Amino acid sequence: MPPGSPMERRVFLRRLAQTLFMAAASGALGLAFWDPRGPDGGTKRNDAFVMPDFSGGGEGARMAIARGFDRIQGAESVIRALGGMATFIRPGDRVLLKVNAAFASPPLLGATTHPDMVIAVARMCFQAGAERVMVTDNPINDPSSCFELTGIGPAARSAGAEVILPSPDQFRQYGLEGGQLIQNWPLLGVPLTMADKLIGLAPVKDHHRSGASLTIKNWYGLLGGRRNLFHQRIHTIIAELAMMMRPTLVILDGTSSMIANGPTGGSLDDLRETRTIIAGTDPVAVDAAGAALLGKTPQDLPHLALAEKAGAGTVDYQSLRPVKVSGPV
Amino acid sequence: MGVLVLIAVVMGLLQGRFNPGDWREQPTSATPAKMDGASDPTDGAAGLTALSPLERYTAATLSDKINGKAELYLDAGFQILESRRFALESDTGRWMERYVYTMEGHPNAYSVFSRQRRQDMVPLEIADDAYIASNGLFFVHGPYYVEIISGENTIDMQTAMKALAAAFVGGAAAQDNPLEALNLFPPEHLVPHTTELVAKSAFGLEGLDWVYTAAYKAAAQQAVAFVVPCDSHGRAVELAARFSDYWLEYGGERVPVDPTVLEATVVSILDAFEIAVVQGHYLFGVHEASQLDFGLALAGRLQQAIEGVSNAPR
Repeated sequence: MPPGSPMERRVFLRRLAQTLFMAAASGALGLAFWDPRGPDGGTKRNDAFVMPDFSGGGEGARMAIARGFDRIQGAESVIRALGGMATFIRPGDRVLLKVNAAFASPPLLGATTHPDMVIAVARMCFQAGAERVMVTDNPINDPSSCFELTGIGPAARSAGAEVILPSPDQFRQYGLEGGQLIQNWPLLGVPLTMADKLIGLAPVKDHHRSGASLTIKNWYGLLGGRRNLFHQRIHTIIAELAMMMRPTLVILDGTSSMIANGPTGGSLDDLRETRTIIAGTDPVAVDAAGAALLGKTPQDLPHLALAEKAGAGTVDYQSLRPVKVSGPV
Repeated sequence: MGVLVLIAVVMGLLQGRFNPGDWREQPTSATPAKMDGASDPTDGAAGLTALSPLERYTAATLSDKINGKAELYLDAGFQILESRRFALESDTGRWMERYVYTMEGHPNAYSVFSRQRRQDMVPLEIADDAYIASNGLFFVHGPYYVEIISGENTIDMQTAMKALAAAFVGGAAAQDNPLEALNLFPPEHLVPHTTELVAKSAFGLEGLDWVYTAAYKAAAQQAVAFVVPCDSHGRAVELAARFSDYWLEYGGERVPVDPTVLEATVVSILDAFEIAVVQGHYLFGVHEASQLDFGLALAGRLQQAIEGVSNAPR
């Protein structure tokens, strides 16, 4: 039709009908996606994962600090100072040890939970009557290599524990009530459902983004999906991890600490012998005490204040009157 | 019309199933499950054998390998990481891992190298910037930043690491273009091996990027000198103003300086002095000078070095 010539009535009606159809179809599509309730974070779904509370509840938080021991002696001493492993583990309990196996690096680099710590804690659990001890983490990069090359896998097996490698069927969608970031997010949930007690075993490390990687940051390894997105809001995600987990016990291994170039390190020069192991039932308090091993204060780690504000624990670890034991070194 | 409807249907299906949390790069698909057949993966290093396939990581997957350290590289112009484990031919239980970070250029590679320098380093001659620190060997070669990390700290492993490093340098054609700005730092009182190239937000100031720094110390006095080659004089002036305002916002106070001595803006904050000077395309100055005289003298020597330099390399 040449420009300026009148449009035929039939053509006009056909185009009008097409336009109205497209407008109605677009509107219907938008309506189909509209959720008047907004995102529910997955928490209201029938199949949503419910995080177990492993803390035992009731009793007040406890904490102990062991200085001057080697790793195995230190682990035994700090648990003894808390009343012994039997205080936390009952006969027949199934215990899950959440280790840091994030990198396929050798144990001497201090980037991952040391295998001696895995052996010491697994043995204590069995001695307290545990029926089963499991060890898990979700390293994104080749989990099998990470567990083997860190020595964690062989250590766990030598102590009679089982290694649970992450697989797609072990993840569950999870939403943290009151959380901004952990909403409808895949979580390594199945191993948690298989356990009665949960113990976190974390090394002391500098961290390029968060300032420190201690016991709370260790829970990051339970997240699946494209979790590196959370690095943009690192303190918020660590505070949410503190809100999310109610462990039986956490043990912070500062026998040597990665004081620079964390969280990967790479050189022995990144490490310093700090000869300290801190254990407790309040991860916020344990991490607040552990900050000093990196030459930092709790104020240098904003996620601790956020976690305390959310009711996950106390930064004032001295208020827990930690039991202090000293070794021969 | 039909095409539009088809697009709408496809979009609807994809969006209906989209969940950002479900994404996970499978390690097996991210890593070519084969050894390099075309070339020797050890680059001819004697006594070593490849222990694992080559692994490649892009900007989207870098944190899968190095977690929270990824941002250090991403901020500095990261392109790709290739890593591979090697073992001694005589004992495959003794191994090392080589990380080759390909950056946008030599300054980018130098930046990540300089930001992670270990204290007890022993310089090596395989490249202009190379050192070994107990079980780790680190160097820059053109756009490559290379780390070789051993599972143990022994003489024979160090020897093998050096051989692997030398083989890489010999096999990877690259030029170590000298970073001219590093030569501007006056040698007097310079603390050896402290020069750095900060890719982003130097001193915590957003927008102060690609800043060369060097530590100075004389008896009880210390300071950090810095140089920022800018695109223009106007940009240098703008950054200088922002630098001073930044410290003033945090409670600093201006300190008057005799302009016949140095045309500088000086801010006193927390018992230290922040000094900024503009010369042509350069912003330079001194950060955290413990004494004003020491800082001004250092800034003066920097100015002498910068005078006569017309074009600014990054």
